This record gives sequence, structure tokens and C-alpha cells, in this order.
Amino acid sequence: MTILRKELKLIYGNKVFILMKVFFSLVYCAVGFLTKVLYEELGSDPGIVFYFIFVYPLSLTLLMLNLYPIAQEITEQVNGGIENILATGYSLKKLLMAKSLALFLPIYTPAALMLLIIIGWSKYYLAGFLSLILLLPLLIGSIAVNYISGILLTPNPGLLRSKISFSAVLVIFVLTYGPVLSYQVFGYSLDRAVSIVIAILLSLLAVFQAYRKINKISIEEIIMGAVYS
Amino acid sequence: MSNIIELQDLCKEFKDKRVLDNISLKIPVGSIFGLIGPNGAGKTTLIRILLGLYRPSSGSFIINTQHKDGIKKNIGFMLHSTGLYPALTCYENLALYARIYRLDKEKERIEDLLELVGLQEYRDEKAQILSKGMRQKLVLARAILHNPELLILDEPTVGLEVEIKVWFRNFISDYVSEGKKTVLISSHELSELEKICTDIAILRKGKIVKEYNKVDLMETSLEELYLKSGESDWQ
Ligand SMILES: Nc1ncnc2c1ncn2[C@@H]1O[C@H](COP(=O)(O)OP(=O)(O)O)[C@@H](O)[C@H]1O
Ligand SMILES: [Mg+2]
Repeated sequence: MTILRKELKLIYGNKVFILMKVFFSLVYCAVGFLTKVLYEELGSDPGIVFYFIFVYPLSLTLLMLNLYPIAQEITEQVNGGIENILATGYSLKKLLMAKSLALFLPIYTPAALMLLIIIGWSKYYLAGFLSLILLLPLLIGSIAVNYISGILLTPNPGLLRSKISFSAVLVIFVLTYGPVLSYQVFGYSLDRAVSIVIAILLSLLAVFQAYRKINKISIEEIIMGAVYS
Repeated sequence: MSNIIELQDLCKEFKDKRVLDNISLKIPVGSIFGLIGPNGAGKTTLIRILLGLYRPSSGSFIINTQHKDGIKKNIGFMLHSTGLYPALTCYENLALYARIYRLDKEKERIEDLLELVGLQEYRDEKAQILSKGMRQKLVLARAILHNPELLILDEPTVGLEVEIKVWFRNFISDYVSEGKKTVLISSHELSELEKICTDIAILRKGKIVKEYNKVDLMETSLEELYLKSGESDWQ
């Protein structure tokens, strides 16, 4: 809790980030409303709704990640914030979780806003809430954990972001083109239920990967990463 | 006299490089123990091991202080890195640690300490505007925030002005003499340690080459002892 509070204070003390966050929340909301127009234009094709419920928030998440005020993370390394906190005996896992949660919150909230709007007009409650309270939090949470633990180990966040973006783009690709591809290769289109199952599996995979990261990372590695690279 | 820290055949290797080589040391309760050695001798590595940041490759150590829920409530420290958050105020920087140590009467304690190190005027200023000396004072305040029995200081005054160095020295002597405290302080500057230490160990290339106590120090100057300890390097 202590660390989470400090992180949020640092993040929200950054004016550029607040502006960006407001801007993105507006963008997300606009997208939520505009999908309705799109939906009606396309003859009420539910595919478009599913796309915006499952896939689209992820691409916006990636954009948000790129706006996260990275400077303070780096100075934390340079000033040894992490080293000093860990020297008190504070648990590394708790620290990672707090930092990840601090990153998760500002990314998840605008996406959730957009989903709520879409659910509101489309009435796709099952798919909508499944994404809202399960898939999206799992995916964004895992991305946050990966990102934070990565950032503690490397002074080169640019490379790290590219890596994370790459895997996320891959997920988006599978989710969007999976059904089309399956039609072309196997001759039958995937049912929407199958797409949802794939989405669930992918988010569980992401969670597993984040879990492994948290268990693998050690204090020694973090300190050496800060000093010797 | 009982010891607050005991090291037994402690070794640390990074890949194939041996940075600490069979260190055995006893640090008595109530001492100001100076760990002196040139840059690269292994002082910081040893201190990081004591603080649980590095794991020793072999050997063992004990620190006789009480802990609670994993938080080292009886050890204070200063490292090379200040760990201050430039965007937080002096007060907030201390409050973060007050919460980690779960102090009650957090506010009073922080105000007292800011006054003690002469930073009360800067209470609500961001740490980024402080001079280097003031930053070190703030870090010192943070190190003793929870009134620890043991202080571990890694070259706390390196690069500071003489006035502040003297102030630091006096502060630490007072801290030890007022309540039964122990201080482990590392330095590569002899003058810093000579005046206040009750015990001194000289570390060179990862080995403790000599240990002295107060009596030895009264008889010969530390400078002489230090130079003598390095003689074998020249041969
Ligand atoms: N994480 C590390 N990886 C590899 N070598 C290290 C690491 N930390 C310290 N060293 C090496 O160990 C030696 C001792 O370093 P250090 O403990 O920082 O010395 P001191 O604090 O006495 O100046 C140095 O030669 C340094 O290069
Ligand atoms: Mg050092």
C-alpha cells in the first residue's frame, strides 16, 4: 500500500501524463460511441462489436504504455530508490505488485470506460463483461508486470517496450485474423465462441508468463542491472 | 562484550571474479567500526551482503538485531545511492520510510528529525532542490528514522564539503554515545574514520588485511598503519 501510494503520487504528479490520460480517456469514450455508428452502417454486424470488445482495447493499451512516464522509473534506478527500499527488507514481490498495479490502474480505467459504453448500447452483456472483468484485466495486468519487472532489470526501456509491443501485436493479430485465417486454411470459419476461448487461453498464458517473471526475478539481479549496464 | 555482527569465512564471487575472500569479522556492540580500503576493495559488496541485497557465495554471517515481518526494524543504512525521490518533498521522502517501518507518531518523529539535521525549513520543498550536503543529511535522517540499534553507512560523506564532513562525524559520535548504538562505516578516506572509530579493519582486494582497536590507534597513526598494510602490494 505504501509503495502503491508513492507510485501513484509520482505518476499523477506528472502533468504531461495526466493530460495524456485525460486525452486517452476521451479517445476511448469516443471510440465507444462511434462503434455504434459503425455498427449501424455495417448492417448491425455483431463482429464489429466483438472486435471492439476483445481486440481494440489492447491496441490502445499499447499506446498508453508508450506514454507512461518512464523518466521516473529510470531515475529510480539511478538514484537507487529500489535498492534503498529493498535494503529495509521490504518484499520484492510486494514491491513489484505495487508498481505493476500503479501502472495497471491508469491504463485499465479508460479501456473499461469504453467497454462500458459499448456494452451500454450493444447489450452484449456476456462478452462485454467477460472482457471487462476478466480478459482485459488479466492481459493488461500481465503486460504491466512484465513491463515493470523488465524495467527494473534494464536501463533500456525502449527495447523492452518494443518486445512487449511485439507480443501484444501478435496476440491482436491472432484474435483479429484467426477466424479469417481458419476459414481460408481449414475451410470453415471459427465460431465466435472459439475466438473467446482463444482470448481466454491467451490471457491465461500472459498471466502464467507474468507469474514466472515475478518468481524468477531477484534483488541481486536488479541491483546489478542498475549498476553494471 | 557481545557482538552485533559476526562474519565467518564469507566469500562473494561475481562470475569467476572473487570480490570478497574469506572475510571473518566480529563487530562489538557499541562500537564505531570503520571498514577502510581503496576503491574496489569490496566494501560496498560486503555492506550489500549485510543488508540482504546480495547473497554470499559461501560462508555465513549473523546480525544480532530484532526483525519484524521481514522488515529490518533495527538496522539503518546509507548507501552510495541516496534513494531519494526528487519529485517528493523532504517530508514525503521520510514519510515513505516511516510507513515501511510502520512507525507510530510518524509526523512528530519526522519533524523532530528534520530539525535535528537542520532541514526543517525545507520540509515541504522537493528533494531535487537540495544541495548534495543537504541530501546526505536527509538520507541520514532517514537512516535513523526508526531509531535503529545498528547503522550501516557506506562512504556517507564522500564528495562532501569539509564542514559537513565534520558535522557528520560529530553527529555519529553523538548518536552512538547517547544510546547503545553500533555503527559500521566504510570509507576510503582515513581522516574520516580515524577521529571517531573505536575499531578499524583494513580491506584490500577482498581480504581483511589488518584489524586495529582503539589502543593500536592511539599508539600509531592510522595513516602509518594503512600504508603498512598495503606494503605487500609494492613488493
Ligand atoms: N555486480 C557486480 N558484478 C561484477 N563485479 C562487481 C559487482 N559489484 C562489484 N563488483 C566488483 O567488485 C569489486 C569490489 O567492488 P565494491 O564492493 O563496489 O568496492 P568498494 O565499495 O570497496 O569500492 C570491484 O572490482 C567491482 O568491480
Ligand atoms: Mg563502494
